[in-house]
Amino acid sequence: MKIVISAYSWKAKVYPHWEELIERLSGHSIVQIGLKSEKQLVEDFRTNLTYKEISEVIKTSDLWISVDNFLPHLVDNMLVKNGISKPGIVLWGQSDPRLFGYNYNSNLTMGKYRKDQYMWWKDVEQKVDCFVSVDTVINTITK
Amino acid sequence: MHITATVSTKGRTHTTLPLCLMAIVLQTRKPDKIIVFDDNEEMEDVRTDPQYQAIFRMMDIYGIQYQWIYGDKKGQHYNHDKANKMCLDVIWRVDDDEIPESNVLFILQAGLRPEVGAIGGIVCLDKSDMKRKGDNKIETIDGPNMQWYYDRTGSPIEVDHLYSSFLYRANKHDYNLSLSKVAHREETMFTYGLKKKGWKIIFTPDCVTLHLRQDTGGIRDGVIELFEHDEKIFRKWLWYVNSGEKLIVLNCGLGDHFMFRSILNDVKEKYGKITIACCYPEVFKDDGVQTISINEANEVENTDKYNVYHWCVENNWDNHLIDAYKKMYL
Repeated sequence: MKIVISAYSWKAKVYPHWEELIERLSGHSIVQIGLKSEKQLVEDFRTNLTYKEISEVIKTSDLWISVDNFLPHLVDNMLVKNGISKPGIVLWGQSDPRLFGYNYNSNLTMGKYRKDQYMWWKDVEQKVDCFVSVDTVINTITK
Repeated sequence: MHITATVSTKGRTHTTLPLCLMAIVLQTRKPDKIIVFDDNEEMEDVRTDPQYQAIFRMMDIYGIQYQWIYGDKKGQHYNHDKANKMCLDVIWRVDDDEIPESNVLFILQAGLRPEVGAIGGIVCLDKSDMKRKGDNKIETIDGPNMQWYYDRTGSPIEVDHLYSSFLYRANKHDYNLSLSKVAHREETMFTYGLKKKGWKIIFTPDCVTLHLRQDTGGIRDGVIELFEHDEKIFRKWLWYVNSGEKLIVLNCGLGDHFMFRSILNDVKEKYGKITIACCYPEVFKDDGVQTISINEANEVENTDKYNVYHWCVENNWDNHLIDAYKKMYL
């Protein structure tokens, strides 16, 4: 399976178990998209793609997994709204998928949301227990 | 009607400012409060000055509240902006070298009818020119201002803009803070901006404020380059407010840009021509809309209020962000 991952956002929104998840998915082909400044997690790390290029990578993938960042919105805007169904898995921490997510994705969350959802996220600390376990992600992929 | 008189001052503490404050205190219709924004380089406690002690004593006798605020030294428009956002009702702005006759506030407040956003009277240097010129229309902005002439004939009329000293409803429009510290054109931009929001702007020849203008000093004292800088901003702003274009501001993240883009077609249908000030113009590359930077947008309008997150917090929003955009723009 070809899986596209988009791993980074404000620190509070970054999934704390990426390395473990990637190891558990080692039998699949994983493409990481992101910025040059981000940490490379897999061999196939494509940086600074245009939005069209990202759409093409997603279109040709079997699955995409991201945190609460730009990717679910790009997918919704450039693919889903143009009739191309491409649901993915979004790993939520303290941000609420009800306010920022899309129902057709698999929104994996512990439901432990920050009180002030619309206040500045930049300096909010990551809370590991707000994220689902790697097992939960794997089970969702398997389903 | 609660009226606050505001005076922004620099370099006139011991020249015309006391005269200005006395004239405000001795109004037949007293202001409820007086705020002095002190932009002097050196802070001075005027409470030790006998002249000011007498002025403050008179304020106490008349029950006028007063506040002396040391300003940010960024120009009078910053002080006016501060006053505008202090949850006040109506503000009477007076320059520190202006002496309003004793009936000015009474006449101005009587003319501030519900549909009026700002009203100003004659603000003149002297009585030498007794015949009024100009019409205070925005098209003749470079011509004479009718407030400059000591011509007390005629009735109050509706105009496009006012100058210097006037009475206005607080927090209905913002001051443009991208102007330099000399704040050239700040009153025109403020009052015409009020007019573009549907408020009437009135000139009345029934009251006179003397403008004892000094050759140097004061809060507007500055180099010619600053005036030129402000004039450029003014011209750009004037084009923008008269163009009828809708300015969309996306001073937010990339994902938020995509969320707004999902309602772009509806926004275009509603407003016709739009310009999007944004952080990620590539998102709209193929959408046939003009994009500008946030900095450019700040030259024509205060963009903070457009921030969608700011809007959500102010409106206790508890729904999806796309729905917030719909509420803001559709």
